[in-house]
Amino acid sequence: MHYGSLYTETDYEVKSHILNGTLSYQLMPSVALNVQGTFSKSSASFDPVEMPQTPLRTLAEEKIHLANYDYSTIHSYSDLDYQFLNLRLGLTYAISKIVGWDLVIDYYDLTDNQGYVYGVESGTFYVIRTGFSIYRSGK
Amino acid sequence: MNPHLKKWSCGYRLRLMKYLFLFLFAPYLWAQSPGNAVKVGDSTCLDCHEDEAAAITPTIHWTSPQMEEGFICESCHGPGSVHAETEEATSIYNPRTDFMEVEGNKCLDCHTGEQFGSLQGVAHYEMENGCSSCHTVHSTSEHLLVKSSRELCKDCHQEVVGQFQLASHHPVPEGLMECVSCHQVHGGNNAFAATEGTRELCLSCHSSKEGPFVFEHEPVNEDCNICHTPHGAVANALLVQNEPALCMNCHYMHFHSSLTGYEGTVFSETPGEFFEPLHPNRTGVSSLDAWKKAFTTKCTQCHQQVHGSDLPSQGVSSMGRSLTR
Amino acid sequence: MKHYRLSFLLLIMIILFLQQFGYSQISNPTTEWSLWMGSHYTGLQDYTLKVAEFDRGVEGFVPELRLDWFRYSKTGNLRFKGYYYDPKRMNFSFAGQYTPWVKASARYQSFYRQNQRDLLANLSAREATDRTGAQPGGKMLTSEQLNPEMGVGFRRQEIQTNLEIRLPGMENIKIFASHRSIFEKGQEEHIQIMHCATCHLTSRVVDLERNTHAVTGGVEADLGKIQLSYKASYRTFSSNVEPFEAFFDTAQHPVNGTLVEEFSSRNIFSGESVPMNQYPETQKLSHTLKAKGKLGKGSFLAQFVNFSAENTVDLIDPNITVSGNLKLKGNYGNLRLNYPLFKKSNFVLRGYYGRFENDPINIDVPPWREGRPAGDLDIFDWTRYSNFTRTELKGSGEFIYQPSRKYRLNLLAGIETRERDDYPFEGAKDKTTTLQIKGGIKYRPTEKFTGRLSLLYKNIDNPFAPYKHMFERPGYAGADSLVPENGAPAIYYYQRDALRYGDITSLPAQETGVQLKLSFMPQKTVNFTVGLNASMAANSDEPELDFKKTSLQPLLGLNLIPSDKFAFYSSYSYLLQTQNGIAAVAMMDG
Repeated sequence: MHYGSLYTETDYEVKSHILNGTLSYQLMPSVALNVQGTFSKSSASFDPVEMPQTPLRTLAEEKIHLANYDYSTIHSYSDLDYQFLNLRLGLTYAISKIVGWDLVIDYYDLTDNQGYVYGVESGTFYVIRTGFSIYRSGK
Repeated sequence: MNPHLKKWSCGYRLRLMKYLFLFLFAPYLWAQSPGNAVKVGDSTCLDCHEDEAAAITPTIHWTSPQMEEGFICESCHGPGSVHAETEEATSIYNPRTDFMEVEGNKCLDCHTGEQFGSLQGVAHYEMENGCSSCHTVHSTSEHLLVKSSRELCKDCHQEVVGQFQLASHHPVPEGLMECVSCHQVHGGNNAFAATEGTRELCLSCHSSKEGPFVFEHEPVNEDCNICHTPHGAVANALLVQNEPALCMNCHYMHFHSSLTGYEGTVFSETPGEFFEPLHPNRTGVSSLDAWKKAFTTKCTQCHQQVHGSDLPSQGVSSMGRSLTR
Repeated sequence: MKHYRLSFLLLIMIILFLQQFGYSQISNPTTEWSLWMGSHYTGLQDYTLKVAEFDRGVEGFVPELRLDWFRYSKTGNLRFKGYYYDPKRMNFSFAGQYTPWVKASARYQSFYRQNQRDLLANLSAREATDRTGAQPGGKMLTSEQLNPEMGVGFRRQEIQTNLEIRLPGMENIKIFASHRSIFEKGQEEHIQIMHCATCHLTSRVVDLERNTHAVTGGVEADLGKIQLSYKASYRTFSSNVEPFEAFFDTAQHPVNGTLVEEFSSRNIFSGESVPMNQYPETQKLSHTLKAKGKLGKGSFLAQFVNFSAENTVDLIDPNITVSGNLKLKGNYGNLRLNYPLFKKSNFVLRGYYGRFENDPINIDVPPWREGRPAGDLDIFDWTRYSNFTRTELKGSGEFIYQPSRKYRLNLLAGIETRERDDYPFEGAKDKTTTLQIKGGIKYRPTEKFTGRLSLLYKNIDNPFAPYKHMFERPGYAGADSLVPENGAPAIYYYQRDALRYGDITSLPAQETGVQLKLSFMPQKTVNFTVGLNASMAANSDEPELDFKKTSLQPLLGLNLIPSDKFAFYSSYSYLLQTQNGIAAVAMMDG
């Protein structure tokens, strides 16, 4: 049997705090330091779905075998809540006018406070990079 | 106060002297105005502007054969005889500081190509320093940009930079895309200075979604931005909302989500209790709200082909349109 | 593989051309170059498919190399940039110009993208026969990962080449050609859902190989007051992976396994293997004409585009018959006029017309309940009309006034219409009309302060809405009662379509927006920015949903550069987006 539809409104909300910062400092004439950071805290969720208790709902729950129109928990299956941190530390040393050395450390960290169909996605990823640079110009 | 006295007050006399001075020296001042200057040649300019000489000689503006040999500086700055004589900054055209007119600027005298669109009326064109807001002419940097394009755009579009820090984003922070991958900064016909209209722009990279498909999903034809936001989103795949909330904007929930779940194992432990052939490894754990978890968590687990498909879904009653295959 | 070879061959030819031609022709050159040599170590902890989404996700040391080489002289220039990050991420580009006659560039980019695997953990359910869930019932839902150990992701490679040539004596004419290929190769996850008997979902890792190729050629002529250009583009998309065959269980009653004939007659396929994961093969051809020029004190920019796109794949599902062409066609044009009405002002008039068509196709699906009571209904064969078939019109006028460096004002008024010929049904002429007013002011009294404010208002009549409606009337009583058809034993699922109502949409009917940005620079060493982007949208046209959507993004920025040695840049933004929507469910047995 068919008892029509049951509906209600629900609110969906996205919230994000995003912070960026970069600091450059010339420690010595030949040494420079660079620090960059990004932090974001984001969430996306919808409010509990509270279906109205209408006469048709009561009838449907009686007539339809084991129908359950309590949807008040479904929002919790797909809520998202992430914290993301990215830090970069860079150090540059000018050995001479044409040769330099640098070191860069990139650090990424994701904290997943909710988990979704992929499971909890919290993880860390970092890259340490170092090398020499040569600059030339001329005929 | 006696009006006669006021007429001959100090301020009045000073103003009178100023007009008299202007009248007497008008021919001289006219000759000294930048508009009456004549060309003096690069060597005269570079005598004083040593730093600029060092900076500009390696650049395309210096080396381009389209520039007038020997008068390259004046190709952009205009004739410089008055400036050479007075040495005043105001006596010569400087694209960096003198840009203000809505009517146009000197850069566009040469840069007439299609990629410059129609700049008048475009916000980028009417920035404080015009072209010089983003470009530095005396440089060998790529496209003569004052910074790398990613860094440059950040200065003004900080809110967009913030959106790229969200969990799902196009790989701009990773350096694998640039703002100019999608935006034509010199203007054109499209909203948000996009290089193409929304659909064509997105499909130029995501061409598997173009179709036409046998079974369509209407919002895909209508506007990609109904479901996606291009810079960054909290939900996966740049979705404006996470599933199922996004899908519920247009679709009702599956009616099977109202079933009550059994608290126990999915597979029947009693042989013959239910029909075979439930495969032995088709098992799992069920809970009171298991049907709701299955049907109201992520719709595209089953309806995977949301951008369209050529293959029909299983049920005849939905005419093959369920986009599951 | 053939496409790969062709694209790489093209890339190498362009590079050789640039290298030979450019290098030898540049006389008395100056060369600048920088080389970075080193290595990097990548470390990964815990779940890294998300945090390292655009990395290949392999731990360890890798050598890294970066070269920037620039050679220039009076006759031309040549630039090479190369960056090798790891075996899957790298980019190389060549760009050169020889006198005004030849300009060419080539670019190659590669990177890897990791994707997450769906654990299917939420897809396990069994029906209960009592309210407390203590007694097991017959309906079951199960899921299974067939390749749980395999990762999914793909390598994306892109090759792009451009060539511009001017002929001696015809400096005002430019001939250009370009090419772009995108290769995506790797693995993706595919989930198969079996319906009507055993609701079982299986996840497979399958190969992915998607190729896009585009070639463009054209000519641009500068005729003094007017510049004209013509461009032809041809783009193809294909998947080099054969669809895999998947077996679908025989349809039968989900509880007791009987009624095979009945349940099978409700399905297009069951008890057989059918192809899965099929991509379309598309070919798209477009022609673009552009004109740009002066109109007295003003200027104009005009564009006309004609395109057609065709899905050329042979339908490989034998269970349905599709007749008609899978073909898109379109013509659209833009016109933009700028004219200074008086000194320090500009009036910008924009116009747009577009006509798009997606050919209707007929789809024959097997008869409903063939050989059963009330079977063989022909309503299940249908014509697919598309909302892509539409006519679009846009027009706007914008007045810009900049009396001095201190002020800039602009005011825009515009209208847009989109009429969909056959949406939501044949001949419906569903029309959306948008009216828009936008105004803005920039105030910059001194170099120490810049303020920008813009306001937007939109009124959207009849925004796009899903065609199937959101709600259903009760079907068991009253005028809308559902009754079994033609002696059928039951009321069927599809009959509910007749009870649907409610043109609910989460697209707005009114929208207002504010953008504010204030920048202070009290000293040359300090810069402070405050900004706000806000928008409010609503649609209260339908009684069922008083739709509201808000977006708020305040912004703070602080830059300090107290000396040549020290610089600090920072920004903070907060994003808040809210929207209400409907949650609806049909109350029915099934």
